Amino acid sequence: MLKPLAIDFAPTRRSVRPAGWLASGAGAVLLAVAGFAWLPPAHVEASHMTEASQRQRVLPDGDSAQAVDMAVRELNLPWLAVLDALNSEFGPGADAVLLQVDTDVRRAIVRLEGAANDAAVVQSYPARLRALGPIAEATLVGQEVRGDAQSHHSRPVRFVIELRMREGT
Amino acid sequence: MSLRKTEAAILHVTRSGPRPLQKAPRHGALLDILVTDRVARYWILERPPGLAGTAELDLLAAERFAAIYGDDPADWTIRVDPAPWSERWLVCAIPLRYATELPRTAAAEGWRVRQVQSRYIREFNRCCRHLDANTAFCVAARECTTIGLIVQGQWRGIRVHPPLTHSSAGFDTLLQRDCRQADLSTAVLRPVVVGSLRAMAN
Repeated sequence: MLKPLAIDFAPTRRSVRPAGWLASGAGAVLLAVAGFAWLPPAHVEASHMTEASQRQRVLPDGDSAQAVDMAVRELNLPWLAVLDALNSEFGPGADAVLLQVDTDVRRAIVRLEGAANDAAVVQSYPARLRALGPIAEATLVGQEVRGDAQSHHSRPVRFVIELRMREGT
Repeated sequence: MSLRKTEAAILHVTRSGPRPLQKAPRHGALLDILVTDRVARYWILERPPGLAGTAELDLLAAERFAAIYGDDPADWTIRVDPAPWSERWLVCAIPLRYATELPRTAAAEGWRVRQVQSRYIREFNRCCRHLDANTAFCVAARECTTIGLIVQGQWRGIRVHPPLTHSSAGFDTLLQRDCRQADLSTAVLRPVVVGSLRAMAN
């Protein structure tokens, strides 16, 4: 029995797991709730309209505009899709497990620390991860073999992989 | 009913280009784009020691593509199957427009593109669970004959030949040639032939 080839030229991720659907749904609900929370009550809105003619419109300064741009950029990163991708690659039955996940939002970077059975598995992960839609680049930053024959580590190869999320998707 | 089991329409891309694309019967209908092996390119990439990133793998695959076929890799989309336990990886390339422009056009017509694959990859994935570790897997289609050689679960060679209807050599001869080039004996491989011309191979 041979394994299927992971070669597909389709531009987007093929499938979303049920957990991904749940996460997406939860995210949508969260966004909707947050949106309503931001909407001012009708009387407040009316008072703003009456006051609008009396005061000069205030535009955000350069720093504020930059902060808003940064916040919008962070929100536009494909967080849910990346979570779904990690779930599919490191979920139950995977060749490796994740020990720690850190993010550098400014650089759109996700840093993964994990453990695997074998160095060959680790070396295949960058290409496998990059094949997923929301990930623009994946780089194996480092790997090392922990312990020796006496220590009986179940997953002796520790690794660090950096992912750059695809922006504007 | 599971969405996963929804049937997808197939858009065939032949040597002369894609067949006419109909409008999707409903918005978001699934579409698989199937590229003939006549325009796809295949080769085997030996796993380089110390490979650290996808960018390096991309460069290596593109370099090999240019060396083997002499074409500009920028006009092609190249995909590697980086199987973790293998020393040799199968690589496939299709013209860039079929991996980028065609899916965009399909999306504009209301389709949701599920897969873009070459014929050989699609047939292999359909049959792989029933294949032995030592197999000569062949797709005998009207446009071409593709033979891939697998020994102990690892890819050893792959070639695209003219269709059996237009080949002066029979399937056995083609297989022998490919095995000889890969330094293999045909005796160790179990030939598995699929495709519309499989009867000619047998």
